[in-house]
Amino acid sequence: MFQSGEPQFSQLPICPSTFFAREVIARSVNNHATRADVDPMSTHGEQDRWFGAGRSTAEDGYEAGREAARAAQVGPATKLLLIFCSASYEPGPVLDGICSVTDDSTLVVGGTSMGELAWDGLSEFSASTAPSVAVAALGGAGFEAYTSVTRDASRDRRGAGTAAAAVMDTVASDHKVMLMIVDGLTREQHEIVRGAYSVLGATVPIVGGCSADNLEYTRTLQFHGTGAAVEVLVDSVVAVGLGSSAPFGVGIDHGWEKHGNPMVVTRSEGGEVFLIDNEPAIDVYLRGVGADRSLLENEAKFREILFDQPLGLSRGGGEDIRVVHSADPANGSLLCLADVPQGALVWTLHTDPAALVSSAGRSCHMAIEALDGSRPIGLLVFDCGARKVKLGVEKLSDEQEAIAAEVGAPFAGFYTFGEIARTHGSRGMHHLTVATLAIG
Amino acid sequence: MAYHWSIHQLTEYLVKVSGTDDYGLAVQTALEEVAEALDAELGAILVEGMVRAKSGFGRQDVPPAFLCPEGDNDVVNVPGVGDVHVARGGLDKPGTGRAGNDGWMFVGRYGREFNAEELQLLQGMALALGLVLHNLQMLQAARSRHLLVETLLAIQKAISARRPLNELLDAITEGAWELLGRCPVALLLGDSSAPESLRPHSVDKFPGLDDAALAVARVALSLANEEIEPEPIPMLAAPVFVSGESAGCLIAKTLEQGSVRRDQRDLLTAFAQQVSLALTDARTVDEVRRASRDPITGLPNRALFLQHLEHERQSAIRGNFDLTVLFVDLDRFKAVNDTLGHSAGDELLAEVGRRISSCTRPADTTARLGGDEFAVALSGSNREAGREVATRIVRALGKPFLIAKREVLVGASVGIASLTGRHQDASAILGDADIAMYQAKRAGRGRCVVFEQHMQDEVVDRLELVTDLQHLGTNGQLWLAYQPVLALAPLEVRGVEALARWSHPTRGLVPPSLFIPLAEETDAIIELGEWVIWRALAEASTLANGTQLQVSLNISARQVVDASLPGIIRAALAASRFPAELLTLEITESLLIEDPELARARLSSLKEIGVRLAIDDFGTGYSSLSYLRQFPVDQVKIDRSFVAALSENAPDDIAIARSVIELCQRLRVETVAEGIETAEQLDLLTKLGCDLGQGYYFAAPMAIGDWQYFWENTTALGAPQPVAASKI
Repeated sequence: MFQSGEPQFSQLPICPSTFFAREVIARSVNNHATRADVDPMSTHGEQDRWFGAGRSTAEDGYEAGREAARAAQVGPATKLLLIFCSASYEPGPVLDGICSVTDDSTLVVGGTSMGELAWDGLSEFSASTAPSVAVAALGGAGFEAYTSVTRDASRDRRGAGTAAAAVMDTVASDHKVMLMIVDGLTREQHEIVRGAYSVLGATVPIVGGCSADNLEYTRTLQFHGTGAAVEVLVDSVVAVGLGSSAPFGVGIDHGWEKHGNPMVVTRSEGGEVFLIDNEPAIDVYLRGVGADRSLLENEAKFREILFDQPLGLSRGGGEDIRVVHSADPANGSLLCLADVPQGALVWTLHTDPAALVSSAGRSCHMAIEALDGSRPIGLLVFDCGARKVKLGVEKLSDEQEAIAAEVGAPFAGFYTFGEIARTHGSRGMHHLTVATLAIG
Repeated sequence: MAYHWSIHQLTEYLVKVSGTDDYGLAVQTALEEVAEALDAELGAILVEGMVRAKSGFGRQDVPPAFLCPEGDNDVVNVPGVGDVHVARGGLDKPGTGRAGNDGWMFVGRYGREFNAEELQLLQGMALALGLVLHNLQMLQAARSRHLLVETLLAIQKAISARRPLNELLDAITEGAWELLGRCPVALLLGDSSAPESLRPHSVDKFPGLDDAALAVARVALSLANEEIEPEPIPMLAAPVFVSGESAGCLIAKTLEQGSVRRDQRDLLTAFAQQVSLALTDARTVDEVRRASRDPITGLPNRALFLQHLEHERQSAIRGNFDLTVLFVDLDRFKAVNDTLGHSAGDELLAEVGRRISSCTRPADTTARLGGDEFAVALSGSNREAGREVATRIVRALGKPFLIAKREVLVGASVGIASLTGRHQDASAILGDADIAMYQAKRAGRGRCVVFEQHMQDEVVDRLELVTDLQHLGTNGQLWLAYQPVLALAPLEVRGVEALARWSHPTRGLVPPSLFIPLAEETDAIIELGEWVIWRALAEASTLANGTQLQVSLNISARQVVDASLPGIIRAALAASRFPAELLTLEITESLLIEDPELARARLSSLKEIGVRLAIDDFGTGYSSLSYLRQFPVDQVKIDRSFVAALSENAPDDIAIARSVIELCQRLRVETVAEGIETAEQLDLLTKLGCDLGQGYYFAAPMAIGDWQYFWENTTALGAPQPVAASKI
């Protein structure tokens, strides 16, 4: 039933209440937390919380959505669905399919991705790189969930983060976490995370990822709504205030190492680095990786190099990694999705597939360890899209298997344009990293 | 390669922190950068005892223990986070040498102590922030001053430009809002010494100004009035004054305390002063406006009219278009004012103003110059167009007015003058229109006359005469002519009327019809009249030459009103030893009509001297004969116009003359016929029973030198013969 290339259910009528056009949902949804109905009569035995994950690679979006959502909802009274939908699908049919098998009261959030991963925790694990829809579902009286959406995030990133954090105001459970799905092309997402941190502080963990496309860098989407209707958004921050009767654990790891000599960013604006050590950044970088500007003519090769050797910013608590996604030969600049501050000390980083695979396991291990000895009922994975490219089809299975082996419970996640996880310190925005949330 | 990562962190940090010129943002950015660089969960910045930034505490307050660690890596328990190691760095001003004097930067990390390099980095970052903040404060102070000056200048310009008051008050309130960092600001108007009277005025920049906020504002104002540093309530108030009287207050909702709060208070006071300025100026403008309006008609007064006319004159010259001015003078306003009272007069003036305005276009300006004089400025109109308007006005004012429930006929004369190159200013055009109006009056009321240059010449001439009239009595140019008055039956010389004559050195003999009215218009008549009294009585004995010759003198109305007249006559009689009963004072009947009470009082005091009183030019005024009974009058002089009309062919005129004479006989009042020029007139008057007569038929007025000759011949003849003496 899980993960099928063939539609396994008869075609159901398209859910009429699911819309693609984001204008359809009134603006009152903005920053307005919606609470899923609490089901006081859990029928899931003594366990008051359940977590399920489903995935479908069906070519038809509607079918894929429906299959994945049905597979994920393994318990009664689903509180929350997290949708990770390949950017290859038209989102409308996918969401229609999801809504067709979801209660109107169930909260639905998510975004587009450049790769999806999910395991139901029971069947034999088998990785796939085909475009798919992955769904994580949470339910049971032990969970409480609220969602919010903040639009036009790029107009005031910090303000958007601050507004999004308001979703936590009504979470009353002992254990809390804030989930965020942020547009991967909004840039400077760290400001959004800072905004949320400024409200929540060190007491509430923040986890999430930036929605992605298939490296076209043209449009990434966010989803927000309920089983009755889901809005498709751009440039927004979708947030979930999640409360639980059991602990949450956050993990993070990357597997990269500094390579070569440190360099100083002598001129930059946001994510565009113009000068490194007072030379055009592009030339310094190419020299560092043993190439010259002729490499720019071969886009595929150049991108491979870029993902092979990202930039690492020196930080007290470790490295802050920046993926260079392209270069502007006219300006001699490198373009990153996140800011590279002027004056920062940078290295090129390098890694190998084995290190990447093991870092995924370490991230999960770290998250699970934070559960104070109890086993997780499920896990969410926010894995960097560049890591997917770096790992390649073959090694990607190794990574996912490593995760499955470490977790031993259902998990779902996606390959992102940026990972959000604050475990220690106050920095929450990461790149080329695996962020994980273990649900106790 | 060995490197100190912390040094480069510091560079990156400095670039970021100094990248903003917003104090609050710089502090917050610095704290977050420090926390991230040191991988610290928690952070806080304390300046002047206040937490200016915090990080990682979410919505909870920074625990006091976090802000006063006993040493580096002191462990403090923070709820929800756990035991954290706390370190701090001082934001000292460069060179003060006193750690933490200007504030502290605190960071807290869970689970791990800060190592020496991290502590050093923290110190460096804190110091750098202090430096940045110090520069920022200086920069902001300079900018604030600049912005304040610019804003105040803009407001003052707007006040000078007389922008509408409400617009000004809103602009000032907005200026205060801007400079106070956009904290809510509102303007309340009312008596600030009675806070409950304050009402919101400009409130756009104070959303949610409700009764509760107003109540706090009133408390703030009472504190501001006491000139003590108020208790830290979240509101500031600065009173507004107009001419020293309280007129309201400017309020601001603030959360700041300490020195910042004092700055804000000073700033608010500066803007409150601007409000005072705007209100005072508006009041002045209003007063000026009221001062430039005639309160009775609401029309512009003379000053404003001239101002407006000057503006029109300049525009007309520039634009080469016509400009015509009408000078309107009411013909019988004084009679209305005197008979119906001043409030009726005011009512009439107001209606006159409305009627004149109704005859003009909206673009024309009608003004009341004063008294019963009005003026109209007609832009773009030539003299012909002006004449049309003037005709309409004369017609409109010629219709009856219903004043004090009575129908009143007033009428008006209008002078018209159009702009020429000769007019150097507005009053020159108005002056010409005035001259034309004077001519209209002289030509017989209810007319319109267009100014012509010769009128100006006449006025100049008249003015020269007026000048020459001064001190006329002492310069030897004035002398007295005498005209005999005869009893008609039988014909014999009974008396003589003294008449003033003026021999001008260049003009020759000036007719009394010209200079007497001029003298009456000025104070010259008093001096002239006194001279006549003294001279006539001085010469009376010579004239009488021992006989009982009656001497008559003309006394002007102004002389009669003058309380000193009886004293002068007594003195002159005493000095000349001329018998009072032989002196007749001739008074025009208009005096009796204008102020009967005063006239009766004055005439009585003259009668007490023992002189006789005559009513001169009888029949030209409005009095009836029966009216005369109210006054102690001995003689009535029938005006020459009646006498001239007398002939056998004019039975109506004979009837009038007869009735006058018969009534006077019944009242025992002597009658004198003036201007007898023919034997027929003499014959008729004698038959009608007229007592006395004078005129060229008997003798023209003559110099005293000729009198002797006349006297001797007449008395010798016993009956008068026509005199061939030159008419003078």
